[in-house]
Amino acid sequence: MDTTNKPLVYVVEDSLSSGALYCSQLQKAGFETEHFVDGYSALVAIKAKMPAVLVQDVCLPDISGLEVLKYVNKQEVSAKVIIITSNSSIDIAVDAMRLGGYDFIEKPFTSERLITSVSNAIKQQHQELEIVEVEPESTSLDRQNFIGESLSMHTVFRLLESAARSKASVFVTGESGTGKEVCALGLHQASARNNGPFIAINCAAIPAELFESEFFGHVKGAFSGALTDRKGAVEVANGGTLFLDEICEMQLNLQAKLLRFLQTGTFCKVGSNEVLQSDVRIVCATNRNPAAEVGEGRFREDLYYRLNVIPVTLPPLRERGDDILLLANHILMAKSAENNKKFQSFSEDVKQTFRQYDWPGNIRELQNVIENIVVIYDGQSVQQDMLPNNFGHSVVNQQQHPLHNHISQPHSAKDVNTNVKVQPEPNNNIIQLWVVEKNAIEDAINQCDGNIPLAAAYLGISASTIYRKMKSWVEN
Amino acid sequence: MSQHTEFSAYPMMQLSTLDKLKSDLGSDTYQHLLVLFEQELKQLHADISAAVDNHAFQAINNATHILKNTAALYGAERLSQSASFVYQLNAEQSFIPATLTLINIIDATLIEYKVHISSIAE
Repeated sequence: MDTTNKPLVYVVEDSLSSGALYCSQLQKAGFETEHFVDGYSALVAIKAKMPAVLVQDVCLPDISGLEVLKYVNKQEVSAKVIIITSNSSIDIAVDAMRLGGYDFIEKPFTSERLITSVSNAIKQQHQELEIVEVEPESTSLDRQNFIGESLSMHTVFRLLESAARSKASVFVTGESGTGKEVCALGLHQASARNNGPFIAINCAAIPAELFESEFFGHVKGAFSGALTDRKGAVEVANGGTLFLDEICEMQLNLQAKLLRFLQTGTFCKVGSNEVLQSDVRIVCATNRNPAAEVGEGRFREDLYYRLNVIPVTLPPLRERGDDILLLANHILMAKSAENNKKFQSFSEDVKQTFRQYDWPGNIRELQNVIENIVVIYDGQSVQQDMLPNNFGHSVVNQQQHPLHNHISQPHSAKDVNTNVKVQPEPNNNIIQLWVVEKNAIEDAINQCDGNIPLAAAYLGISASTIYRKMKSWVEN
Repeated sequence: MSQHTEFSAYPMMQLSTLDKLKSDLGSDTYQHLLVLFEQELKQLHADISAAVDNHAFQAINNATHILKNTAALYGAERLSQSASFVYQLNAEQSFIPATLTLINIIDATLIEYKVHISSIAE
């Protein structure tokens, strides 16, 4: 490892003048550099002295850049590897990221893009070294928010821990309610970007005509209603993570703009020609099959490969075995504490019901069921007759999972919940809770000049939650 | 439309790219890099010419892989476009005429850059 004040960067690029140019740009930015025109020369140098960062063309004249990457990652203290690639070798670059590459930059790129990537790599390496020195046994992923002992979840945890060490894009897939946003947030918190913002956007909930403005921001007068300059999610997320939920719902013209941003790290606000830069890590999610969406022509293939560097598939709750009870206990304790209740456990028959039920709404459904019980009832143990009336009757999800049989009568015939199913009297002064919530959210958005991520931050919820609720208001 | 006509839409020397290099890196480094670029162009010219003589598709492919990106970095837009065109051809296609066009464009680019290097050296 380099011990001088200037971080050492090796540039492996088969073009003499291109490599020299990259080195000059990096030197100007305060790095010490060495240029190698082939892979073997680089390997010899790496063996003699490990740099902080390796900027490497993936197509080398002698050996594959992937071989150099594998060699680096086998060393006890390894360099961060940034892959340089052309459009024609994007699939190789994706492989490189899966092998532990830190970032990849597509040619042609600006000097700012190169310097930003190298600076971030060094910043992350410093943070990792500090963590190793202070807490050698620690795991970077906060398991408080990641409950699960099943094999499938252990695979997910391993992937996330690897992903947290790089800037690679992560594509989270899984059924609705499996915890995709929690997964994205956990990844952000475990990464070197955890001091930066985490901005979530639900691509399905933003009207197409507003999407570009939400994403890239706009300048005053860009369109009617643009009364002030406004930062978009990309700019707000600078230095942090941008979570794009339901990415497959994004329209094709917007996909092209997102791709352009991912390739260059630059963007223009709506109504402006000024080129701005933002360094964000993209985590996206969908409950669709993205490969099938590509096949159907609804999702750009080049964008898919850009985003799907580290694919993470969250298993549905019904396939997580006893994780259901682990999660249920965790949620019960949390909801009891929130509501000043004393619930501690579930009766054996409730546990049995939970195990047998196929949870079409996954963890979100489990949370709702438990919260419903905790709010309405008192006691120490959750009993079968406390289960909500409508438990086990999710029509939508029966259509989604026709192969899975829901249990038909998960609770006893005794209808103890009748008292909470009373319809509100039309002439009383009680305002329905969802209306109160809607007013509060709309007020916050107005106070933030329409900036939903900012409003979400003030409300203490994620922007994705606001988008989801807005969608539900429209549906209602 | 001939390839020459197609590529002539692109500037031989994109001055805005060169100006940015100069302002980012300073005059001395800029001049040094341009000399390196010129040397590499000469080498690639020789490699590609030899490959054409031998109908060596792979050697042309290797050289154009370098050329298409390096030329773009140094503002040689027409050369970059021509190299990109040759690079995407496969061995079954008629790659020799396109490569001969590319060699002509390398020649022309070299002349322009030599003049430019001389002018900044004065």
